[in-house]
Amino acid sequence: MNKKLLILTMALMKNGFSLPKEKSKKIKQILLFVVLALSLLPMAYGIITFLRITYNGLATVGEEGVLLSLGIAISAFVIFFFGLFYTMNTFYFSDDVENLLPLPIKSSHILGAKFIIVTIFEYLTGCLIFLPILIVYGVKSGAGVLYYVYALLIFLTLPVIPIVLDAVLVMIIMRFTNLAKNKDAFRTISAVIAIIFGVGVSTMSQRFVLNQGAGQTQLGNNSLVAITSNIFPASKLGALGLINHGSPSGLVYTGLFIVVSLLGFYLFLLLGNKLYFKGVTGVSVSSSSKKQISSEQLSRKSIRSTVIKSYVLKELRILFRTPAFFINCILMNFIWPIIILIPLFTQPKSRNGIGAIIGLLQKEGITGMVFVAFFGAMLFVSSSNGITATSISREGENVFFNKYIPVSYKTQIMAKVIAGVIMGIVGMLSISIVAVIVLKLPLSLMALICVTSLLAILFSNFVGIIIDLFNPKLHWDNEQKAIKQNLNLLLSMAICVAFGGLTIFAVIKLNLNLIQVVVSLVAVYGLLDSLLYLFLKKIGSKMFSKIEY
Amino acid sequence: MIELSKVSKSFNSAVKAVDNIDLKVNNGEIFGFLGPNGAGKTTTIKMVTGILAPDNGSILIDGLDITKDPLKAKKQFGFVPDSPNMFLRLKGFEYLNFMSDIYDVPTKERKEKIEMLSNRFEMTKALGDQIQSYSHGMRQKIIIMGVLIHNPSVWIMDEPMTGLDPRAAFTLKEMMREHADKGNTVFFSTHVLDVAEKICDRVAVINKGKLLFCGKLGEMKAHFKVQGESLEKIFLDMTEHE
Repeated sequence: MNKKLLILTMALMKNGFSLPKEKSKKIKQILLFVVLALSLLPMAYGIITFLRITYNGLATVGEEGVLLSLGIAISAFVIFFFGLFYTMNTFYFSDDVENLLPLPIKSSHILGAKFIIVTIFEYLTGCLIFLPILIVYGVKSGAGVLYYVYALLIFLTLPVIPIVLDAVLVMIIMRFTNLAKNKDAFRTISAVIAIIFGVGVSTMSQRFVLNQGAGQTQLGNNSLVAITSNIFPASKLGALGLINHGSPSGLVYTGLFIVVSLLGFYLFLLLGNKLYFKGVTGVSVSSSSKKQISSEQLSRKSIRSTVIKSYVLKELRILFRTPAFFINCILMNFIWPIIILIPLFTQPKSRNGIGAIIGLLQKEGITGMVFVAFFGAMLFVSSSNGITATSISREGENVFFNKYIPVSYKTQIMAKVIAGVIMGIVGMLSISIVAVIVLKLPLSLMALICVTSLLAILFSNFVGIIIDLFNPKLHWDNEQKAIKQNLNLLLSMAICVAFGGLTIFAVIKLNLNLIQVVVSLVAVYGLLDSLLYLFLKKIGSKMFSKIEY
Repeated sequence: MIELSKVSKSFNSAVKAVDNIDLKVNNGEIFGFLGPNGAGKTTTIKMVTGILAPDNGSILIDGLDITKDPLKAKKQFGFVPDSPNMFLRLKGFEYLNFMSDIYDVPTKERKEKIEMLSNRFEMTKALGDQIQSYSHGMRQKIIIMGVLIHNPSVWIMDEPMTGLDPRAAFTLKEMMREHADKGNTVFFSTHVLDVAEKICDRVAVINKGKLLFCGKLGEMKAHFKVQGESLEKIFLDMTEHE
């Protein structure tokens, strides 16, 4: 690798990932990593078991190659999906380009370094999805060393094409936002468009693949490979390379896969030079209207309100107006219903499936299960927005403000919780509307579910803020780092998922009916929420008072 | 009034950032806190405002202990931090209203105050824009306005003149004088000797965490002359660490 490119990549990486200098904080950070890794272990076990069973099933019809081709296609899709956020954050919201431009570095080096950083991020995604598939296939098929060599090469190259697509898409959209006056709003809107466009493209191609596949599933001999890989055309080469690792054609396919990826990267550099720098410069500059506010306007706008209301409003305003916060914390609440809706409108087959689900939901005795499933989902959804799990971290170097104002720490903590709860409720309602309209759940049941799920939302927000109070990530130089590189968000999600899973498991195991489910959920989570509230009131305030930048 | 007695603070227990300081800022005076970068000015101010907890000693603001009775003590003062890059996504008037709510300012009074302050600081056309569109000096002005809006008796300011244009700096100095003349307290840090010389009734000099001098400016000149050094020389010595 070019020396300057390497130096730049390392510098940008260090800037993003450095561990805290103080020993105690370093230990805390490492501890957090360990807890996070441990909490993922049961999931990994589940995934591997699932893959083993799938392999056995496919092997009986001679279609075991589908595991690889599907694996590559799905991994490429997931990498593409997360890549939209990563590329947007790394290329546009990291605010470092204006510091890099005056330096004697080639523009292709800046593009290359940022690309490599996104690729490294995506290796983590690959580890979660693609790696288990590669290993399970390798072990089950008794593959030799050559398979693992090819597998490693393909693993390392896989993210390139999806990221190139992400980057080109994002660059084209961002290029034209410079014309806009209100940069923040336009950055946010263009980010939203990019996400919708990205999700749209991938569902369309999925639909295409599934429609084609429907007629050809009986062919056998890995013929599905060709079809499922249509999502990302080049991924077909990777799958074929791995499946044919025993013959020379495997080498050819793998080689071609790498060549195509390199060509993609070259295309990215070419387009990047044309699009990127014009779009990114001036991103940090914002314009003003310079309009005088009239006395009447001022009277209307300066009305006294309570401290807590004013504080909550301030939190929400900042969340909505900061593009990095909006995309990660606010938009998240509207993404889940869309994800539920997509297969419905794009795949005719799944509509039949929905019919079956609706039928199932109408059955007597299953309402308790529906209830707890929604409750568990709400635990996950409201923790996934990360509003409270990053609420102290987001203050960054300005955390001192919270310490000199005459507002008790308890009030400030509760205001942050309320902001999270409000957005959690918004997320819940958007899912509920979809559930009532599409899944035809009775309105009365949905209302009962929503009221009870408030306890779940409260729980996830209490957990989130406790984790953030314990170890806030205050040292960041651009807003996206406060969220994207904040383990507190992942940890609070892991805890909420674990609680959600346990709750659902307990309800199934105990075979509870609706009334029993409602009563026990209210009792257990009512108690948990009360305990967490007391903890925050007594110890949370002390933790807040000890936070220093 | 601000009273510090035997206040110390150390980070990582090795070096004392502030070492056993006694200081009294009286009502009716503008008090300048002088010293080079890293002398302990900001640490002292952070302890006075409740941002940092002192290791030892006590700090009283208008007789209220900042560690024992923090909320009441915090209501007595308004604080201008050294960096005005706060709440960049709020609009000017939203920030002022937020501060008014935090400090419990009634509707009528806050409107009058916003109008008066924005006229005086020439910010009337900026209030409808987000603070991130402001220049450094304008950000400094909006932060100062946010502090003055609740009419605190004690003003605490960390390098308040930095970034202000000459007219705004003049206005601020004028307002500091008016405030002190009404029997209130103004405590501010600076390393610009000129500013201190023009407006301060008394000054204190801090270096390496220790208080070197506290008194009137005339006394200070005399004090260091006795030790054979000119005022300029003393300040050059202080600032050479920067």
